[in-house]
Amino acid sequence: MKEGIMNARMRHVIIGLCCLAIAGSIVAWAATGAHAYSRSRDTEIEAANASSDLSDLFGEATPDAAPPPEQVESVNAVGLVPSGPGRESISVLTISAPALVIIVVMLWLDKRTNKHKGTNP
Amino acid sequence: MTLFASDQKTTTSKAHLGNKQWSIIRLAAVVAAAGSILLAGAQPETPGFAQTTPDGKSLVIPADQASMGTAYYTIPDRDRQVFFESNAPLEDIKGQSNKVIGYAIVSPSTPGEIVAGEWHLPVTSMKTGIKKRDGHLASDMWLDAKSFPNIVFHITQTENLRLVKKTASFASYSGTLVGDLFMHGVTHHISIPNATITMLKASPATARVAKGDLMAIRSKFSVSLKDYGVSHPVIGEKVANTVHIDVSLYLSSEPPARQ
Repeated sequence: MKEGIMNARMRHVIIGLCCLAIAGSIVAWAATGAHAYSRSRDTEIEAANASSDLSDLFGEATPDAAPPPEQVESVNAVGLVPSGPGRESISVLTISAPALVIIVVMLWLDKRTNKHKGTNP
Repeated sequence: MTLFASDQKTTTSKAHLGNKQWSIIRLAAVVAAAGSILLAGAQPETPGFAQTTPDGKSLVIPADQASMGTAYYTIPDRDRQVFFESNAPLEDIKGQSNKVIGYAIVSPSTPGEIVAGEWHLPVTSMKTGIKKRDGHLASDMWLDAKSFPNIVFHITQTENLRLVKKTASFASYSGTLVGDLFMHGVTHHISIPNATITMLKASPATARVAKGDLMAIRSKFSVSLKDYGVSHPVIGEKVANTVHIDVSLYLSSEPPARQ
């Protein structure tokens, strides 16, 4: 029997890998904070967040002062959508969209091959 | 004779036309000059900002302000100085900067009273955790950092100043900071109530952190982007029109160059 572009086993492996990539991107998104946009670390934010000697000094002087606002995050995070080039381009969307396209193509090839098998036994 | 008279008339007429042309040119020049003056007057008011010091870490205090009291200089590049937050239906944005430079002049007669001061927040120093968004923020669609590189607060007086707490080492005051906020080419006179001003005398404990007598100014206020001429289709959806700002400025009587 003559196979098309690739054999059924290969197609199923590719579909499996694509499903893994989609699942992996969703797990990474959830594990890195479930942000809407992908993020990468920013050294300037980290430096400002790390420095607290002045605020600590005045915090001791004015213990009843309002608490400082929460910090701006500086993290590597996979978002639902990309937010820029480089690391910030890695997102659930940029991984899942091509993977879904590949899955659809593989399924179509599978269906086509099975059809051929049916017509030309 | 008639011909001569006619020629003479023509000559006179030509000379007359020449004078008219000169008059028109002169009138046009006067109108153009007046127009330029009027147009210059119609430009958005740009206050005379203090110049940045050569090292870029502070501002040059104008002589008339320096004589008003004791100068305190903002300590940049250390703790976070400005935190801002936009809570829109589709997205919450948080950002910060620790690149504010400037000074405050404290009254020699009323401790804690800021009688003059100016701070520059470089627009490109505002970080939200997403580099592309930081780029958008500085672009001409938003704060236009190329045309207006700094957000400037020029304080003119402190109102309703009251002592909140005093010990041997520090004194804490509460008051309303009054001044002009310049952003995106627009200036508005604003009052920031409930600002906290804390003065710390130099001591071995403070010397470990920074030289000189120290001062902290903490305040919270909100800014409407539309009031400052910032308009964008996503305002109200992904970016709130009202941005909440939390300021914690730390200053020293020693300029940053000597820190």
